Amino acid sequence: MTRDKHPVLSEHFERLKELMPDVYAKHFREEKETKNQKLFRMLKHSLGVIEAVYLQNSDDFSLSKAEEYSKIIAELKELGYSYSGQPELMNLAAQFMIMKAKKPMEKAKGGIQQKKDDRKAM
Amino acid sequence: MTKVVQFPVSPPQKLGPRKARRRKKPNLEDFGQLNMFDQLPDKTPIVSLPKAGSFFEEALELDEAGKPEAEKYYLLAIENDQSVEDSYCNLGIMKSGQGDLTKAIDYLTQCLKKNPRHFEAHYNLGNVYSDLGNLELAKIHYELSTQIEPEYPNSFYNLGLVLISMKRYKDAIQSINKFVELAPNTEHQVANELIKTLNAIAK
Repeated sequence: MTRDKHPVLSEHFERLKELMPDVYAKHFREEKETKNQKLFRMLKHSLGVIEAVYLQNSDDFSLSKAEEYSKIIAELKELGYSYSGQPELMNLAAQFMIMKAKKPMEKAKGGIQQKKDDRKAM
Repeated sequence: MTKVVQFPVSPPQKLGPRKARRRKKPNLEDFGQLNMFDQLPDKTPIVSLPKAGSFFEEALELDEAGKPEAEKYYLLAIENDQSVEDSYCNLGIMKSGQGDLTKAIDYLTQCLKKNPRHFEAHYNLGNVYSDLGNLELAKIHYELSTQIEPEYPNSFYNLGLVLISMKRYKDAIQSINKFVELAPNTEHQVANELIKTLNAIAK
């Protein structure tokens, strides 16, 4: 009887696998993963880093970065993957994208325009 | 005995090449004329005169043509007290286009210092603050611009977008409806689509 086949120990390891599936199942899971799944996992890690940076200092996180973040998630959804994203960041990105549709700046014409507008047909 | 009187003889002039010598300038004041240009001031400003009527008009022409020299002429306009507030306002737009939003706010607020009811400055500040993600300030400046120029449609449109971002959909619908009322027909389609979507969300 080998050591790991001891019924008590086996039971103990089975319980640990349930409690920490990431640690115990990682090796087997990674072997079974397709290339796309591996890439998706890596991407999720990268997005997690972005979210951590945002949560550490949200004031310095520019709106354009939030937009890029939301674009990655939108592309992931288009490819059939599911990733909901950090709600605050998604909200910020949505605001930025809405405001991008705004009307442009208006130059001051030094009274030239106003003078023309003042002319009224008699 | 006769006296021999020596005939005055001038020494013979040397012929040949003659060097050019700087002539001494006549002092005009000796001839009764006031000499105004005796000395140039130490710091003579060298300024190219504007081709258009004023520095501001020249700056505006250059700005419309997308030329960066416009900035120099706007600054000259300010220095020469020509359309100062409008120059500050347009400098703000230029800086915003260059991505220098802090300087853009500085120029636009300088404009408001001169004229607190400068419509374009309030509207443009709304745009700058919305670029920065400060929706509260953007909203205030758009609202002020609608108060000053209630017939200008774009203030209502941008205010509507800010209100959508703030999830105040009913207020946004009102603002975009006002835009449709004021804007030319060519701009109605997008706004009407937006109102449809907002109505669906607001229900």
